Amino acid sequence: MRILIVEDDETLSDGLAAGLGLNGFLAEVTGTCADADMAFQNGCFAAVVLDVMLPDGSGLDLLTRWRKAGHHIPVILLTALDAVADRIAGLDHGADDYLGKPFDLDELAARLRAIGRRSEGRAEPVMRFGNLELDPAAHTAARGGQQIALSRREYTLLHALMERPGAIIGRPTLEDRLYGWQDGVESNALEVHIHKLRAKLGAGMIRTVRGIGYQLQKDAT
Amino acid sequence: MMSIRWRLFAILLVATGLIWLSAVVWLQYSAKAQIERVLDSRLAEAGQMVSSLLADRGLAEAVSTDAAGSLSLPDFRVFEGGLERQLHCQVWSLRGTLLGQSGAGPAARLGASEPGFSMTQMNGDRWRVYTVVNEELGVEIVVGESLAMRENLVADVRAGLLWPIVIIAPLLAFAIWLSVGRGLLPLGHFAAGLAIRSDNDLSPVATAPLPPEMRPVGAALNALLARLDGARRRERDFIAYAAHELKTPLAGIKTQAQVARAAPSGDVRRNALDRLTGAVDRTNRLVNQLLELARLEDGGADKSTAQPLGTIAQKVVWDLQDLAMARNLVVHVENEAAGSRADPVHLGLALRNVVENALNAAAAGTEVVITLSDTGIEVRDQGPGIDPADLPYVTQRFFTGTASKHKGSGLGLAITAAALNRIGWNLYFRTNAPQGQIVGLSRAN
Repeated sequence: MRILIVEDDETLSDGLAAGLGLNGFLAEVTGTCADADMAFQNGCFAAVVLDVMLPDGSGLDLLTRWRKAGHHIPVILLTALDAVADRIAGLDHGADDYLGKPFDLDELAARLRAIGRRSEGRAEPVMRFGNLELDPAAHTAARGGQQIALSRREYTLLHALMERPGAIIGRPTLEDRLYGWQDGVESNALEVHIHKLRAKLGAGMIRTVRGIGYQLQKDAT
Repeated sequence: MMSIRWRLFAILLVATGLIWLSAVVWLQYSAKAQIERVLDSRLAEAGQMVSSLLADRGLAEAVSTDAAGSLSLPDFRVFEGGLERQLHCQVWSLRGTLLGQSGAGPAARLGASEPGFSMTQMNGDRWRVYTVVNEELGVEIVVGESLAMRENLVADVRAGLLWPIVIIAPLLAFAIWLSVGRGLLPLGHFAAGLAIRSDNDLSPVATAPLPPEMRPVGAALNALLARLDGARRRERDFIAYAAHELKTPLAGIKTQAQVARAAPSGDVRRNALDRLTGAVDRTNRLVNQLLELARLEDGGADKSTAQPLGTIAQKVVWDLQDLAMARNLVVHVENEAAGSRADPVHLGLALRNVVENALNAAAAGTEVVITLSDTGIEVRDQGPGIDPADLPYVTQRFFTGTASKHKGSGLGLAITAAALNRIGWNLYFRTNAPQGQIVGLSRAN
């Protein structure tokens, strides 16, 4: 899942990017409302982690603008003011969840996974496709009960494919999920990871749709 | 304090009573004087009348030929306004024989033998007497009137004035009590309206229904409410900012600690631990600043003995040496021998924050100049300067310029202002030519 982090404190935003990365998310960091707005319009994010007090304005105002513009993206608010009235105000501005600072990194990750589940319309924490299982909380995959060891990139790829099983996921989307915008992506890097994933899952599971992207399919073998 | 109602009631009642009483006293005296004047002239007239009656020839003959030698005069009965008034008349020969008198008079002689008015005491009664001497007939006519009669008349007048007071006073008191109460009714409504307000309601009160005398009170109250509201909003903002400024680094520290614990590689862990240490330092500095501010606002810091400005500035420069070196800046103190002295604790704190800002703002490789003079200290840098739009707010706690690149706590200038305020100094800002900011700390005159 690609997450937009809007937080002006460098220590915190750096920690969030690293920590969420360790939890299998790909985090993009911005520090102001203006940058956040631009990033939001340009990239496709699965969720936003939004600080309320930003140097150039209030995160709540930004959220209100997004909601007015009809964006349904899940938003978790981060704020130092976590009295009940503040939580209510935050949720009523259109936030999906609310975390008071300081928070637990694992809790934030769990909430992001829950938000992801809800937006995919899935109740079960474990993602399933045929006999393939993916546990976003543990970052493990299993096939027919057999654990499969996956690298972080392989896991991210599989997660992206399993979010909409059977659908064709475009190359740009997958590259976005793997690298974000800051890293230069080598032209064949995606193919390399798909190749490794195929080797672990079995060649038939990931179908290449030429010129478009990749698709997960029920194992033909 | 006595209630307004009781006070007004008492004042009105006493004032009304006094006015009435003085009217009574005045009327009594003037009535007495009038009555005396009228009755005296009547007494004199009666004396003259008897004298002229006696002078009548026929009557004189009768007097001289009367065997009994006594003269019987009729009683004078005068009816005035229902009051019976009695005069008594005696006729004496000049030799001192009582020739005759009117009815029920005293046997002894009334009054002195000099003609005109006189007073006399007889049988416990005081009399007003008028004497006419008729030399021709050789008689004295003495006409007297008991003073008790006159006093009764005056007493009647007085009673006529006093009775209405006794009857009307309670009615008047009741009317005053009611109308004062009615007049104070808006005050009661006003107070009741305030009493039922909730603790958080600092909205202005409506002054339109108040009587004009009370509108200034309503206006003053509204001004106070507005100030309170402003103070509370600032307090709320301060709490929100303080919570944000303290909890955000804490969140960063916690997150970095969790990253360090879960980090798969040494690089990630080292980076997280470095960030963590930096965040702890920054947070520590923020906490120190908050404590400094709290101490300054509390007024807890003691006044220390004054030191020369040069000593204070040198210590500040020494303390900030590391920051200056890290940013490749030179700090220069001009006119270090300025003779002026000041409180080193407060001025040092104020100057330190100003110089620190200058060091953070100055372009790398430039100079920060601290100029001392007898009137104060000026700090110049060659940075971007403070945005003029931000100037009114720079001394507010947690205010960080919207365009500022360096992310400070927003407490530095707040501390400077508070510290200068404690020692009676002023803070001012000027633009440095060709670029940069001048921040001045000046001794108030």
